[in-house]
Amino acid sequence: MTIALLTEPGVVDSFIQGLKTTLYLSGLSATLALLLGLAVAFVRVSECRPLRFAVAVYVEIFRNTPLLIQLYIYYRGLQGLGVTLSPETCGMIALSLYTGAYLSEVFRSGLLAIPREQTDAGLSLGLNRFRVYQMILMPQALRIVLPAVGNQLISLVKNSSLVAFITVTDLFFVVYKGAVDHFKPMEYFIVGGAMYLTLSLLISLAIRLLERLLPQPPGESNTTRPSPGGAASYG
Amino acid sequence: MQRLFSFLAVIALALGVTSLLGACNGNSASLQDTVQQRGKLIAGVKYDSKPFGYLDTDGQLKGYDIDLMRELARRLFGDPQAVEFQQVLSSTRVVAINSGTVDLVAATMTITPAREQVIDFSIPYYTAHQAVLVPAHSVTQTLEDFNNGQRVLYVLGTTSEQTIRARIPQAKYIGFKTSTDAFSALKAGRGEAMTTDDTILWGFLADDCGFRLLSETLSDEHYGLGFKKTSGHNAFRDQINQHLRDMQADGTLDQLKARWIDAFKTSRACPGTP
Repeated sequence: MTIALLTEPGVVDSFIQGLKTTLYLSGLSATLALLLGLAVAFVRVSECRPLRFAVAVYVEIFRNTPLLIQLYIYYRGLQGLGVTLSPETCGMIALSLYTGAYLSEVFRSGLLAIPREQTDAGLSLGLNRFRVYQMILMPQALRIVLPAVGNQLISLVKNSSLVAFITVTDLFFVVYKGAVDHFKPMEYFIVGGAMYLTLSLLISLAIRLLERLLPQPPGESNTTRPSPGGAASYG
Repeated sequence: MQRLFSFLAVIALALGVTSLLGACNGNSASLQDTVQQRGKLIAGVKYDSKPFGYLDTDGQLKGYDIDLMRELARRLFGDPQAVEFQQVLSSTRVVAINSGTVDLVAATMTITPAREQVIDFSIPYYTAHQAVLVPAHSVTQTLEDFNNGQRVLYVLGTTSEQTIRARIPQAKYIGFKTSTDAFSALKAGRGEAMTTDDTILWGFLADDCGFRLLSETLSDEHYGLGFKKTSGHNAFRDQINQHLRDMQADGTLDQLKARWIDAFKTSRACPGTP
């Protein structure tokens, strides 16, 4: 019965439209969240105390409040202050800030996993702090946090379904609308679930590939290396 | 420890089986008997559709559909209070009927062939018309004035969407779960027009002079009460239909219309009321 659904006129088209929106929104938000997460992580391991405090406040607020409330604050709340953003923009901002907060913790855990001696060694060789990060810390940290980043990207794609609540016509909106219009909730939700599952599996496949391609961090073997937050159950 | 675990498992299993049996009993009995034994109706109604079913500022549920259900309760049990209301949305009412959580649904639901395939309807008890609401200052006068990209807001799970899409395919459509959500979005400038049944739009117009209706309506919407499509419900449906026919004959439906609809239309004290 689920397969028959896809042969009905217009159904596949609507799914493709929804999928495009979800991919576009998730892709853009993922890029922004990765950049934001990196930047925040650097600040958090930096020496500047006030800045560190400020970004810690950001991280705690954004990862400890429901994404749906954040979405409604941009969509309905800001309107009360005279700022009307399009639903798509609201969705992108909310997903980026929310995921960015989580990713910053992931990146931070990666940076902290590298022994302090390596930084000292780099500095004593005459490299400046930027070079130390660029040449020594980041390549290792990124490899360490890769599985955890994959987890966050998968969460991001699934979380993006919440934008349907603020009228963005993403994959979930199309699924919900189809279920309501055609009185076939089970069929539509199963197909919708399968599409999100496919997206998530593709992301984890890509992460596995990246893990193979990037060199293992030298020194320790996989089994003894302390696993950073979120990565323990992965890979 | 293991013994405790198996003991708990047996209890859980027993509970599961009895609740399953309970569910089966509920389904196989005639709904008419179940309702009589229970001594009250369970009706799915809207909370967001003034003047048919809405929560008033005093927290009371009011409207045409609410009064209709109370009148049915009076005729069935001699007590207009013998009815329990449960909220449904346009997008959830068919599921509410088919899951059996309500005996019937009175929720501004148009009788359509597509819906008749999945649920049963009573005879029509009211006829509404699909209309279009625009801001009072809007330059739009007819449907033909809608140009590319103008945003029309609709409520998910209604007939209005397909009807207006066929008429003005060039507009952009944005769907909301409730008509209240759609209206507040229209107020906030997130669209140029909103469409649903005129009856529901009058509800918004009554409270707000910043909007007007286009004079043209798109369709006739015959409202029916919704029932689950199963043989156990047929006698109940026939009984309700008989009461509806009586209400039509003795003028009760006209009184409801006068009280809720005509009063709403005339209560609007705005300059230049359509």
